[in-house]
Amino acid sequence: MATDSSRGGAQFGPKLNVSAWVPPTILLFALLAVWAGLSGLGVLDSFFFPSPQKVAGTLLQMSTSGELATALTATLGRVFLGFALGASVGVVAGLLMGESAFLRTLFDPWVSALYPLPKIALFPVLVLFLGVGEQSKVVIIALAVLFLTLINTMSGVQGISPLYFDVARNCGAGRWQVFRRVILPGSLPSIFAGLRLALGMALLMAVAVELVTARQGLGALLWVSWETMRTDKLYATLLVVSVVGWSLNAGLARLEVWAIPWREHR
Amino acid sequence: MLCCKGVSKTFPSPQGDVEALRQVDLCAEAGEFVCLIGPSGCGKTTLLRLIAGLIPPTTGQILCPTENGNSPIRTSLVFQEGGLFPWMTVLDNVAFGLEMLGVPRPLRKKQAMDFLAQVGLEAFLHHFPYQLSAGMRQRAALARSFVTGAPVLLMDEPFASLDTQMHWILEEELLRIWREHRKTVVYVTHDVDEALRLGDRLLVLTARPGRICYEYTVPQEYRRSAVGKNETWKQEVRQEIWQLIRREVERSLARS
Repeated sequence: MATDSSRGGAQFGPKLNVSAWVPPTILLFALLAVWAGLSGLGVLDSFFFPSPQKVAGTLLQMSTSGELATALTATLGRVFLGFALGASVGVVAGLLMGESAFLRTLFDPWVSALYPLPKIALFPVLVLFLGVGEQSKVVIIALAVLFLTLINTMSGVQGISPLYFDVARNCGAGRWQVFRRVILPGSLPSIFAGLRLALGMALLMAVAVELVTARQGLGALLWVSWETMRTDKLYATLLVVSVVGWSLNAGLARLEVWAIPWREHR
Repeated sequence: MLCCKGVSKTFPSPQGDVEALRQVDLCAEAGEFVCLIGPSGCGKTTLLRLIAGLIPPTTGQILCPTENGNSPIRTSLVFQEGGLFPWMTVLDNVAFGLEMLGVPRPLRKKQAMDFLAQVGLEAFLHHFPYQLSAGMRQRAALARSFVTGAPVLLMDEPFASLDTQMHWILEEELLRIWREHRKTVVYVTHDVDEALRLGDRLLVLTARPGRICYEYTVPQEYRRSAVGKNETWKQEVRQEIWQLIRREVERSLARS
């Protein structure tokens, strides 16, 4: 019976744990120092491994010139648009297929057959139909996102304990009430698991198709840097890509804590 | 009053049909506390789900005769794990049944709070189930089952996952609220002593297919006496029921 009554209310969310992020930060700076030291001593070839100061300088120059902002806007625009399209269709379809055995038997073979196909392999076909512009890029991202969110949402619905359906129906809940009060909240943890995978996949797809066809975007910047032998720019852009990936994931994690206050978050 | 007449339930399965219940006749007077005992897998839970109307019987009828014909039975289920929705606060969980009945928000909130106060949870209205102990969750489940005013309470080993002390405390809690609101209770357990502590009448089910093979009415003067008082009367009936259940358990083991 001993439950601390101060645990309720608004104190949800991950606690900032100093000991969890101080050691990794120290390690990061130590590695940077080793890198800078080795570059300074001339041990590292400055073409393959430009010094951290050089990369930082290039990054600064890229951000003041607006080059970085243009690329970021282009990539993030594609990521968000493709993600929004794919995730909304995927979550709705996943909920419906999870809820209705009929829809599941009807569409499951399609989902099972198309899911293992690497979506990037469809890109040439999409370019054939939609051209090299924005449409083919957004659609390929949306497709990759759709399958991940659909499958996770569907398995989330099917994973809800039958007990909760019994309770709801015993209380007289109709189909729509069961959907709104049981299926939707009950599958939310799985939906978010799918969204996090899908957001990472969206960034991956965006950069991948930009390497191939785009004039703008982080992927294009990477490719141009390689073609012009600007390894400092290459590393600077890579750094930006990884920071973008990390921030997207962290943002979604915050959203998850807000959306699922009823689960113990670590 | 609640009446099951010749209720059978067979579940189809690819390995052949599984007969869960065969010709069960069970009648409970209004306000009667009936305990169902039997070996595991004897269809106790199936019987509760049938009475709750969650699944239809294969044959037979489940009725609630009243002065003006048979009315549909309003029931309230309590499960071993309580069945509180993890995504709702304690208050919303308890008010859920009322919400489904269309009770307006301020009224259902007030009624839910009244019942939560009766089980001592008034300080935990806005907590989520994961923030409560197992015993507190079952108290909330009790409040939820009583608040809708359903005349029939169906309990499926509601306290089986609690430790012995909490188990006894919640039994007393249940009896206290039940005395106040007087519902018909069908209480499933595998524990003969628990059944003797709580029930007016005990029914023993056989191993699958479940049939009622024994019935015992607790003498009026011994019903729900305090733990540790007048225990001698139980010896004989406890022995007899245990023999029956052991035979059924052995029978079901021999078959599998």
